[in-house]
Amino acid sequence: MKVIGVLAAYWIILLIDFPSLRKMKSKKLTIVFFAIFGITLLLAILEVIGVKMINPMIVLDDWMKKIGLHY
Amino acid sequence: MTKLEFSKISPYQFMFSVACYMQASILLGSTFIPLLKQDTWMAVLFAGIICIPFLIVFLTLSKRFPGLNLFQIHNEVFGPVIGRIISGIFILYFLVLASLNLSDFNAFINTTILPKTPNIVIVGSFMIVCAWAVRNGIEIIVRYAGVFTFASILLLVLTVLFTSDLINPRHLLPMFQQPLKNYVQATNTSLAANFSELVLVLMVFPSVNTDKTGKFLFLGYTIGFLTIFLTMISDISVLGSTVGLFSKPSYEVIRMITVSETISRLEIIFSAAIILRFYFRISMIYYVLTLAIAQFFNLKSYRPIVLVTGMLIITNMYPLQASSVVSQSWTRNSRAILWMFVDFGLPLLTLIIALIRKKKLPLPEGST
Repeated sequence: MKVIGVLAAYWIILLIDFPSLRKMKSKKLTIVFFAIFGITLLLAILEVIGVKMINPMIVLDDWMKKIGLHY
Repeated sequence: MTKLEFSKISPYQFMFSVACYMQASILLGSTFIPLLKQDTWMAVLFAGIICIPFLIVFLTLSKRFPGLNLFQIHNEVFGPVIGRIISGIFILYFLVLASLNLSDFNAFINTTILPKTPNIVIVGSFMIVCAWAVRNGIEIIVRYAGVFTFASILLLVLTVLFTSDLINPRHLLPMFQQPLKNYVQATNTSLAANFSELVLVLMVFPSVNTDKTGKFLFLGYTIGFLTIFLTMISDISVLGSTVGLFSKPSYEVIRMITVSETISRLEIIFSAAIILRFYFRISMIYYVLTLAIAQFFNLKSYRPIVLVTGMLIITNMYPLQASSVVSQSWTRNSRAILWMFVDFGLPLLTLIIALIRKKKLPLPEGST
């Protein structure tokens, strides 16, 4: 159910932005748009199906502790 | 790199934007309060003073490259390859900053107003408003910055008036009771949490319709600094050494206000003011991030990528979410150092390289 909600939200974004993308007639803009779109869609689906993602904050904190850049 | 934003903002709008952007970071004060307790106001004062030379670095950069934003300056100084690498670091930084602020907003709403509402409803509805503002450009985002700034100042004045019976200046004593390391760490954390994120004004400078950006930057900075500093003094004067026990001291102070039997629970006004400030802060970062992505890829316009960038901020918020203890510890121990590198180190490096390579752009015609 949650995945359907995510897909619906992304479908709405496509409906809103696609006309302006077509009007701009820029291949680069379309590629960037769909690249960000794809990344966020993937992250959103992983989130709703319950895949536990690593917190980059904690990873960075450990790494900074190792190299001594840490209080 | 092409110019993407053509709308201009007035110098006063810029000034209030700086002030309002800083005022929105008041809640982050709780991250370094446990280090210094009743001496925390000193950390804010020191950080406020230390930040000034860095503001001068930002201004010198903008004076050397009039009409260019941070990414265009990187391109000019470092060339297209290294310039893009440094710009890429800033894109990551703006993305993380936006997601962290959204996470703070979500945590604030969840703990104070809507504890049972799902996160996605809170952040989703909030980001729709921000996206609408960002899509309409910088002019729309900063239009009400003055109102928000005055609302924050008014709230501070009312808080001091209504808690005057609870204020005890002795709560600021004893002074200098903590180890020196704590003063350094708290000052660094305050600098990172309250002041250094002002680096994003370098992306907005070209939109300001004046040659005297420096004057208005410093005026806005003074208003923002004074609000943060006086709020900190007021919170400590009321709560004393117990100030370190609360995750939102300002909120706790307002909760203590009872004007009469019928007028109480005034913290909802504080919550409304915090929502306004978060709206402004996140919209500014969101706008700068969208502009930065568009600039990085040399796009014709940033508007078609506004909504997907908003979604990216939301989805990036989830892995970054952590308990307030973990988040505060990270802010105090590593974020404070990391932010210094990005916010101050990279602009300073850019200026040094520009000076060595004698890179400078002439003033546009008609400028003084």
